[in-house]
Amino acid sequence: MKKCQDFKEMISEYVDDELKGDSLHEFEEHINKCSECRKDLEDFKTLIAYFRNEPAEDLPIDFKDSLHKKLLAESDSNTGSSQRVKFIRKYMPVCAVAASLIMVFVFWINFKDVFRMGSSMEKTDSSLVYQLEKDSATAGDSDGAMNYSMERNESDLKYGKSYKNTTEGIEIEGSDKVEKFSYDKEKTKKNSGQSVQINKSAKSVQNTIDNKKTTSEQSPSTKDIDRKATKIKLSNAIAKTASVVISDVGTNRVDDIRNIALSYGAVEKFADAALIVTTSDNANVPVSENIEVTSQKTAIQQPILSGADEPVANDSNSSVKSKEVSDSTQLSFNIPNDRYSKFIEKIKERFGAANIILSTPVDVDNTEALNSLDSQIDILKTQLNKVGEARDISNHESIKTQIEELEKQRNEIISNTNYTTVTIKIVK
Amino acid sequence: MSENEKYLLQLARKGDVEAFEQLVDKFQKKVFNITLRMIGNYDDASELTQEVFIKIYRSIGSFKEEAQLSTWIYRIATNVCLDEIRKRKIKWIRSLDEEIHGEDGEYLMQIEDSSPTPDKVLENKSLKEAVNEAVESLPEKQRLIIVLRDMQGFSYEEISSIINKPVGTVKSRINRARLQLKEILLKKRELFCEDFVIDNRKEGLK
Repeated sequence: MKKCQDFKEMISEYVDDELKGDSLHEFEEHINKCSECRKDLEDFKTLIAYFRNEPAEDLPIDFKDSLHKKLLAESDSNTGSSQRVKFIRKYMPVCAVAASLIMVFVFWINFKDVFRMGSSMEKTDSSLVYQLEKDSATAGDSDGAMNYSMERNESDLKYGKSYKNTTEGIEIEGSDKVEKFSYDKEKTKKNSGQSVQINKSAKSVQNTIDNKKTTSEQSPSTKDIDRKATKIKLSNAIAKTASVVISDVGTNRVDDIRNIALSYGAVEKFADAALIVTTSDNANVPVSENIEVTSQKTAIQQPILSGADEPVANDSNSSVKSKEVSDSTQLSFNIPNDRYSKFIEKIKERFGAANIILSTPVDVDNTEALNSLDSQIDILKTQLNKVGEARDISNHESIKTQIEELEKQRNEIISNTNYTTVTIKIVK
Repeated sequence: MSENEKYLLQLARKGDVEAFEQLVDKFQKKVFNITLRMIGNYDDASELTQEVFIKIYRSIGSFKEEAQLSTWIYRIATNVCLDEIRKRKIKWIRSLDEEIHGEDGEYLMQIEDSSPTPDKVLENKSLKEAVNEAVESLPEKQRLIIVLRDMQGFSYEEISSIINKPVGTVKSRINRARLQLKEILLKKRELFCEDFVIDNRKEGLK
């Protein structure tokens, strides 16, 4: 037996003449008996009658004109693009030939550069002098560097741009703007056993260049270790570092610290991202500022080392990594400079000021590392051009990866300038 | 589809604007009225109707001749309307949520209650306005059903192909939408005075 609700659901169908057969019969029977449903039916009829009697609105007067214009515009843009497609299809072979000619031209221009660029590379008899040149004005410019990560044949235009950058560097060679500095064998030896690899890579760079090179100009001044001290001050290559030692904080507070840091916009630095992360040596050093500074300085040698090292052994970072992984109670964060002091306050509040030993943030000048990376990138780029000229695809790819790797480090140094690197050590 | 229509369709597919206009001419008024009832604003409806026909012009290539042109056009029109209403809803909700940053910290935007006071309703509410308002206050899918069935007089089958739902669904949706609309109107009547009722009687609604 159907309920009232069931019939209510049929009202619309009834009004719309969609109800047929038995259902229609049942419905009519129910309506005669049930006043509530009858009332609903009446309301529906009135409502529908009202809508039916509503006159339809005419189109706005300017409707057709306005639409016509829009349709014409639409049709123009359509045929325009299809014509373009047709044109390209028709002249595809011609376009291909033109493109390859342009590519050959660009290669030729780059080759010229390689030839000239090489004159800035020297070899001394016993010690290998790595002479680096960089125009201070272009040191902070990552444009040229970025271009090379692109597919060779992808953009002739960008290629032209990077070409321009290198010529600029050469034109001002010898002018006051250009600073020269060098690392010799002895100096690099001090920094762990990686020096050999550096020399290897530098040699390989030089050997390739020397093959084509005739000019060799000795510059004794570049041997001078003191001149290693950088003279180029780039305001944007200064990164701040600080260390915090928290003592007696009970059980696992790592997550607490992590949460606080993250809430202040920190980026945690894990071992594999470590370029400026302090080594475990440094972590054992208490807060004395002087020691802190020196240890930081050794720390920033890492980008230079691993950078120079990269072309030969890509896994150079692994040695750095393992050191840090072993020290599990040490955390390292990059905190935005402007939020650093607030972060420290929060840490003090959380763990008690008495439990915290704090070092003043120290400026770490990464300009040198940056310049070194820049020079290495430049050298590799000239190499890349040469290899490209010789169509040595496998070498081309590997050099490209090397460049990308160096550029990654370079970008990290630049991005670090906005952050204070805090190393937090938890001591029981 | 007549031979003439087939010919026009062929030309329209090649981008012939005039042929396209001839082909869709007889649907324009109805599309405009659907849009108008859905959106409730004359100028916006005009704008949106043009948008509908540009969309149809763009996609006429994908129209299959076996299908009914009218149904196809109305389906596009209703979809454009529903999209527009949803867009507006989101916009409205966002504007409500928006935080205004003032000089003395943050405070939430104060929204003025725009629903008319009973006095105002008394003054100038005609039956037509009351019904239109009630239709506009329906959820968009129910509104669409009322517009298609009761205002534009589409059959159950036609609605079924326009909204791409089985006839059974259409049936229940029509009934639900009408019940809902009736409820809204009854509430209005209870809330707002005898005048309104008298007014209703004059114009034919009990």
